[in-house]
Amino acid sequence: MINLKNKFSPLTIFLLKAGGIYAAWQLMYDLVVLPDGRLDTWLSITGVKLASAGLSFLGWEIETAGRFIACTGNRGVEIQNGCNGMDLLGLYAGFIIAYSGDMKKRLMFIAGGIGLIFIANVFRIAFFALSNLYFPQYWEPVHYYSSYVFFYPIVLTLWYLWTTVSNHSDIFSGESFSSA
Amino acid sequence: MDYSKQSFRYLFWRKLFISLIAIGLIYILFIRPIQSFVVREFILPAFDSLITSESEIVSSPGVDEFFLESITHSFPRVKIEVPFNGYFWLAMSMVWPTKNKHFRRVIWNYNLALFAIIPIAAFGIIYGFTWLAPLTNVHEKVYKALFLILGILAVRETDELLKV
Repeated sequence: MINLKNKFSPLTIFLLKAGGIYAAWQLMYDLVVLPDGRLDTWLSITGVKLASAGLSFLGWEIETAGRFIACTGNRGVEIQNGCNGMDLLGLYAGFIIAYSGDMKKRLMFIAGGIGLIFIANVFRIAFFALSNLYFPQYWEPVHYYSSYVFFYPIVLTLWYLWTTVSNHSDIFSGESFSSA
Repeated sequence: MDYSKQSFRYLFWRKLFISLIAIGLIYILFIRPIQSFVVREFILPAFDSLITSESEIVSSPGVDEFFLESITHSFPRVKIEVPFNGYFWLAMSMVWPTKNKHFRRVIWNYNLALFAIIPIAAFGIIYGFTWLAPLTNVHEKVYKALFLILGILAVRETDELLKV
């Protein structure tokens, strides 16, 4: 049997593991979860309902129908599959699973992170509805850059925190580092 | 407390945030509009011309990408992007301030390799090798995730070294 630990550096093993997890997740998503549709539908509809409740509570008049949300009298937004934060959940969890660490803390990190990303998605959906009300002409950039504003700061910060909490710095060889 | 070490860390984090904001702005204002123009005017028409009228594959435009899909839904929709897209710039905006040459080289070289990988995948799908579609989707997700991971690891490694 080949001993990967002797053959590759800890960093390479980690990257292979992460790549494998992402590949498996994406295949499972494309071939099972997406055709089934239930999880995507639940994520989209729940996100729309929570965003609608939040905006209504804050005083906006909101209309919803399934995956659609709109400020009354304005163009609506449909939260489609692939736009409901689902792939970000896989992206986030894949890193935490691949990076060494205490299992209990890891499970807490995964659950907490998924919860945070879900909440961020609710804010994102609410922002979409409001952007269609106040600046509909900027829909394309608002939609495209929303992931960079709502999701990536959370995902990258939590990844960083996980590398400090898990305290496994053996993958940092220092060889590649010149000076900062 | 060693104030010089603390200030090195502070300078590093400041540099990182400036890099994220500056590269983000350059990407939004210049790079993405150029990439969108190139995709719209040259790349999509070139690939479109390869799709015959009796083909079950259709292409549809995005902004800085285009999509290949099957009218019979025989394979999942595939996004075809240009190399050096947003994920390259996001990862590089984290790696540049760390001066991590190894990670920088890996990300840079892989983006150069994408100039071959992405067209081969797109040609393959257009010419009927539709089993490439899910593989292309998997490849897209994996390489983007790994770029971000290299970015975060570069930041973490530098911060760790400045702590010591």
